[in-house]
Amino acid sequence: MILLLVPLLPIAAALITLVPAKPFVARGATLAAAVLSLGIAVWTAQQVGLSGAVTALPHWVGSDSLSVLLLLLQAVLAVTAALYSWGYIAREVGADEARERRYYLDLNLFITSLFLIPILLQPALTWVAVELTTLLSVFLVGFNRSAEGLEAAWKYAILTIMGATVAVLGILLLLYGLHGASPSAPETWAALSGAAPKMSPNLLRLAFVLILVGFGTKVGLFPLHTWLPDAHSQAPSPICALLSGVEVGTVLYVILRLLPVWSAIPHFPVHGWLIAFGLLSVGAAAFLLLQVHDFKRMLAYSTVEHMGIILTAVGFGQAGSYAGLYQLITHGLAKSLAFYAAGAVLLLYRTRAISEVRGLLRASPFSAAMLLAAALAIAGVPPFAVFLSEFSILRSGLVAGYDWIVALLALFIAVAFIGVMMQVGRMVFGEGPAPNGSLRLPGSVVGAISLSLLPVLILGLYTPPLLHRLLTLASLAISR
Amino acid sequence: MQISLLYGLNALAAALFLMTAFLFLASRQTAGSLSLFVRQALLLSASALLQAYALHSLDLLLVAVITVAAKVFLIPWMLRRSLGGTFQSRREVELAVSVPTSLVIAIGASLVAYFVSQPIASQMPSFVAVNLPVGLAGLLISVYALAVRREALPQFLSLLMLDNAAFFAGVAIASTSALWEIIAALEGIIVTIIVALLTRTISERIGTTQVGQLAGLREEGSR
Amino acid sequence: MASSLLVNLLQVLTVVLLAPLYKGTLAWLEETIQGKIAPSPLQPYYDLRKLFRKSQVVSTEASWIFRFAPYISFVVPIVVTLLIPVLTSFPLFFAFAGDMVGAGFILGLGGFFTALAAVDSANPYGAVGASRTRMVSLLVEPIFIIVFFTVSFVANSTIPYVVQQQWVQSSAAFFAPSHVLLAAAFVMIVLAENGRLPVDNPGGHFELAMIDESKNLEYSGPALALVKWAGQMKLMVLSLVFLNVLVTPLGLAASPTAPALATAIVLVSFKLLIFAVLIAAIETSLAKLRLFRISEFLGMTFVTAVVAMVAAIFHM
Repeated sequence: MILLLVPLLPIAAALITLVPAKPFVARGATLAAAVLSLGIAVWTAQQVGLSGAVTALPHWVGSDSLSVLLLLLQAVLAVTAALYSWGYIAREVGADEARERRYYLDLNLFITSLFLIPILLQPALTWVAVELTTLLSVFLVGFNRSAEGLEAAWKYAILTIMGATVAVLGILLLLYGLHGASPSAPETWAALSGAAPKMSPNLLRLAFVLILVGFGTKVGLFPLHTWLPDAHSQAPSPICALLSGVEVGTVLYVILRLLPVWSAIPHFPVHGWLIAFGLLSVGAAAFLLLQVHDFKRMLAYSTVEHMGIILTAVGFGQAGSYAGLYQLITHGLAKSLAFYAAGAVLLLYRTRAISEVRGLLRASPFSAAMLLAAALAIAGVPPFAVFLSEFSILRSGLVAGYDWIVALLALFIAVAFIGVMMQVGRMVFGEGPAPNGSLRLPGSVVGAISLSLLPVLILGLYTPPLLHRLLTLASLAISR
Repeated sequence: MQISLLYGLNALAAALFLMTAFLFLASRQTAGSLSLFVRQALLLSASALLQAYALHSLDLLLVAVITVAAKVFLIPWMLRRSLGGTFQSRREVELAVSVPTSLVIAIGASLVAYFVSQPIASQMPSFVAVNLPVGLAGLLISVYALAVRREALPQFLSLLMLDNAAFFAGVAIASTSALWEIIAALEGIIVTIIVALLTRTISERIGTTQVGQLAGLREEGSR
Repeated sequence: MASSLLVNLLQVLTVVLLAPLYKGTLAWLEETIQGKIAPSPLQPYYDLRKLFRKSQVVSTEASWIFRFAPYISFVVPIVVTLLIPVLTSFPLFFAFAGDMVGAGFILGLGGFFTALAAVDSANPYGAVGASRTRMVSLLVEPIFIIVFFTVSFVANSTIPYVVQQQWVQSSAAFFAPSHVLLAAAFVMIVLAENGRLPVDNPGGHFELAMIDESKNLEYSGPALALVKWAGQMKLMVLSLVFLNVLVTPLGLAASPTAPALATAIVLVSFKLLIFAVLIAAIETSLAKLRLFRISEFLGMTFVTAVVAMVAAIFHM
């Protein structure tokens, strides 16, 4: 039952933000709710590690190894985002307290919708929650109310709602098949996986295409990724961290959740499709990364690249799924760190153009070091966590016999590495004009960045046994 | 009523539904597009009503009622209220692809929809066999219409048409689990509120709703 | 045999004699709906009588084509009438002499000669009208073909008498998407082929905007009467194909007896009246399209017809 508190806590915080009090009440409530949620998530993870699953309301709310991994990631990022927002948003809105409260209201509602996705046990309700994440984050994306911000919010809303509407037909088809196969079964993920072998293969294939395209839009898979760099660069930095770090990963979770269903289709190369879609995204994003002029857009393209890597990894089988899920976690942590560091640079320079940021190392050693660390982390350099997961992915691909695909993947990763490091290198080193923003970073921003660096470093050197166990269970569950 | 007559009337609604999708693709005026959307929503609720009657399903009846209330009355009212000026202008919406080309693509979309649904629908009851391909074709056509429209309101209307199409297939295939459909129908209203608010903010802040004209954000390759 | 021929003759007479009335009724309905004082539905008869009494003027530039074209265009709808069910639901003498594609060809022949004659008259507006009519026909013809394909997929035949019974077997077949879309596409073809709104304005007198009428500008006297009469018959024949073959093959005589045929004439006239109301309603609610938008209207028709065919192929 305690799992139900996870979405309820941010709702309570959202209610508190409605009270017209001093802004620190809203900030504090958001942070407190996030920290408490993280505590519950850790507790749930331990329970799942012991017993395999936790059920709060049978057939409605619960958690298993796969979803608790995601819940943990969401909770960690919720904490750092709440902390980062404390000083960052105050700087952004100035004295407009009502606008700041509005921000925290939206943030808490957005976090609620994110928390709902992994803990709901019914695909139809999960779909509703996915749609809610879009609706509740649209105004966060357009928060700065500039022409570009609103355009980004518009593209984000229209394309992801379009994707969700396509996906809903796929989910409906699955439910129809479920009722045909076992009429009295509850409409849960588990029942769906169980009944899949008895459903019509044609129906499953159509549902697969609709869901992959529909949710793939929201994950930012290649031909439908166009909204992602816009939305993920225009939003305020803590929101970017949540969007890039967990939102896309959360929707990817919904696709992965259905893998046992697709595997039940006879003579259908599901893994081939995943690898094809994944590789396409990695390749496209890697080459687009070479051409970016905006450092937040650069991070956004890197997100497209990483989602592609994860999808490809899952296509490699069970070992690949293990590494891919690990990548889902490490990418979320590293990308949030990167966006926090980028936000600090934005506060200093008041521009997102790479060409206007030079000699960051001299202007602000802290943000320079953090940006460099974040860039190395997302580019997959040891000793950071992403290196470990990417290395495992490539190894699992080789073990599974996908030599050429691994070679291509490695090539694309190398291209992306060059793209990211070239741009960040230019920003950090070299000579340039002094920043025109304020030189002092807010304390909470510094705190949040440092806090985010820790797991990225630790997970690169050491995988906690609980995490290992959860990853093993989850990878077994999705690659039956 | 005879069951075959119900099937027949449902098929009639389906054919007209598909035709409104084509007309929408060919229409260039915002006000006309909105009235096409309203007519299509009426056809959708007609199909839901017929099936509710045939299957004695209270859920579907509720879906039909919600559809009429939301899509025929509430959404147009909301759009006219918050964006009245855009509807009044009689100018033609800019289309990225010429109408005849779009119509040829719509043919392709319908072919694909029928081709894909044929093996599934042949094993399903008659309502599904009619609604699934038509809904799927509407889905593809609306996605295409969304892609070629460059202004905010027509894009949003395409999105609403997309919603209609998904529901048109949905009412037939999910007649057994209609609880969530009600949730989804209500969600359509939330989507509209949020998008209408966003459109209004855009037109207030920037003075235009031609999102294609906002060239601030471009794909890297096309710079 | 003899009775079959007689009924065929009666069928032709019905079309020839009622066509002006049909057109007049349509004009009367439209003007009445638009709140104007309408001319009598019998007005086309008065016009024809007047024109036949007048003498004919032929340009010295014109060749034999100009003089022959009215006769050809007058005969063409009569030949088509022999092939389609006008009053009877059983096949008549010429029923298997040509199918719907053949009927389409014969109608096309008439169009071809009127267009040639319009160019032959050396009147610049004639050539303009001819090229525009050709453009519309060029776009309509593939749609005709698609409609016939759809029909043949459903009925395994394109003989009108065989086709007509296909869709009324059950209400499910009647309301099948393929049938509904086919009917809609055919209505749009009827509008386009006969120079009705939104493709052309039948009541317009502005030479630059004319499509269908400008071909006849140089004709006078009996020749003009024949051309007008031919146009009226063409509208009636296409309406009859729509009503008796594609949509409502009801109310037709089942046996070649006088009472049955008389009833059929009444009932078919009634169906035509209803169809005229439909066309009048469509025309009143639409504005004429600009010339280059006509291709969009016909594109819409094409899509409708093709989707009807797709639906028919997949039996949905």
